[in-house]
Amino acid sequence: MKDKVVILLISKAEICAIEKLFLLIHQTYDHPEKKKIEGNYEIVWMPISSSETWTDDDEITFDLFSSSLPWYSIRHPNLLDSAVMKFIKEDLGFNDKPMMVVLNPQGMITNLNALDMLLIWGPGGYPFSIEKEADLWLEEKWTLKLIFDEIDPLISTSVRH
Amino acid sequence: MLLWFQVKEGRTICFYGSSNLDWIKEFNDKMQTIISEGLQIELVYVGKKNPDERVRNILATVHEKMHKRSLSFTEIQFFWFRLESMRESILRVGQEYDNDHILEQASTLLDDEDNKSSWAALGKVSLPFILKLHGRKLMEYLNRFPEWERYLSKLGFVGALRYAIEPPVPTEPCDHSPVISYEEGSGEEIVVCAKCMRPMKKFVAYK
Repeated sequence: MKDKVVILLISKAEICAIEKLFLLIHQTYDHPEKKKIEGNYEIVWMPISSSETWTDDDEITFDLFSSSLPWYSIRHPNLLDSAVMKFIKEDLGFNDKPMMVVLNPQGMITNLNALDMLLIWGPGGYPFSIEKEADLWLEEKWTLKLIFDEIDPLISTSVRH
Repeated sequence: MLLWFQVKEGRTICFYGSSNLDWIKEFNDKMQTIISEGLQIELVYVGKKNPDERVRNILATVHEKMHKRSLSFTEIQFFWFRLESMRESILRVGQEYDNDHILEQASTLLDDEDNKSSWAALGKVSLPFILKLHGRKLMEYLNRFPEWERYLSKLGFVGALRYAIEPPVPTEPCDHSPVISYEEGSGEEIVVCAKCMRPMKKFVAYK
């Protein structure tokens, strides 16, 4: 992970609504612009149990998801140190909704939650820091491009017959 | 006196949300009548927030019977997820940029309490302005199309519709927009203020 931006995807074992999951995957791994920043960042999934301890159900769900999702995940979520859990819940403010904490190559947290900017701009959000998020908004206006380009770029470009 | 120029008729996108198939049929009929007069307007159905089976079924009907070019159900979900993310993101960044406008617009779509309401939003691809109208009012204006049709060549579809809704009263100039640089050969274009969408008066300043 050296020299890369690392994004910790923190969520419950069953991550989130399947549809949103597909979209997140699309915005990261399947995105057509992905090649530009390929290799510069990695996503590591850290599932957290909603209860105090990691349950069997959590384990089953985790196994199911981790084998089919394109991201790295921590190998033994059940062994996650309670101090780390506490940090995640209290300092990072995790409260069941998935969040993506961004670490720069020096290991500093540069964004407490880049999930939204990823859904909005995909790889264009690299390096996914809060400064980048603010910069991107500086350039944006309420346009059809903002609303539709990531969904279907043809809407704003193709010619109607 | 405002100087009017020919509008460069780029594509107009009209995206609409509704879970009322009857309204959708009526809306599409009216829009098709207008489109058949030669206007380039693309209709995009976006369902409603938290799209469900009902939206899925309506989408199938829309795609089959009304306009072949349509978003897929997944893309419709994506549309709404992204709007929510926009709101969250702007709030997180929390600075005093010009994003209040975006936040406001995203919120009017997201916070539509009455899930039965239908709306359409229109914009030109090149302009940072989108006009949004609700169900009945929208139909009213579409029904009165012959009245404002004549403004089309000068203002384009969105401009003409806006003119019909709110004919400009001679007022103070707004002070929204900065000086726009003039491009030689940019053609005869109406330049509208990005914020209030009123045609701008043209002054030429030489450097």
